Amino acid sequence: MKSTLFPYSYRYAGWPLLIAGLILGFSLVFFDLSISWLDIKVLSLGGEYDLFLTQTEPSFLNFVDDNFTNEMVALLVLIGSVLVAFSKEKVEDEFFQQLRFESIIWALKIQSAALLVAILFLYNFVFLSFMMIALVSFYVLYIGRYHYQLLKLKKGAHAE
Amino acid sequence: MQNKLREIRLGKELSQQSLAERTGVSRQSIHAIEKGKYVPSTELALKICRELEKKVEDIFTLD
Repeated sequence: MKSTLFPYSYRYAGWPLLIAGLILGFSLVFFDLSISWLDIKVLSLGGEYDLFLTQTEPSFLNFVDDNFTNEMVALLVLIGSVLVAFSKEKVEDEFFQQLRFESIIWALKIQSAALLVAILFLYNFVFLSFMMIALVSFYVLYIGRYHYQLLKLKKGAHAE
Repeated sequence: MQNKLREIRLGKELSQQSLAERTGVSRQSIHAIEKGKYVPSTELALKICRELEKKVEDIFTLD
């Protein structure tokens, strides 16, 4: 069966992007990071109004002022995660495919449970902040679980 | 599913790495099978049996 995964070497690009994205993301969420040189004009494909109906200028297919920090962080985490999550092992085989499948199911279950709690108990800006994190948390959960299981197996193998 | 892969492999004086190379899988996969954490596909089970010169039921048994 032809593999749809990226080559093993892609993870060497993925890990630095993911780690940088997570560090910057942490600073963004908890310390309100905003990089001044990322104040740029961006192309907006969005609707006529912004989320809170405070912008009356049509922004559809228009260039709007934006600080690109949060978009950059999200892109770093997303691209890094995809490269790490979907690159082959050195010797890719059926065991790793099974481990991937189990990790995806596990991450989806946790993500769904967290979403359920958020829908029921989080409101306004806290809910929006949570949803921003939820955009990339699936990948982080999946990567974390997959590599934790591999690490446990490697420790067991070295102990023998 | 239980298996006697570890004792049969050691009886043949094969390392996990060399059995992995002969069957075209990773060492982690052989380790996971020996630990009972992973049940191999029919194809991999047959390859392992061929390398160890055993029948499937000599290595793998149902609980």
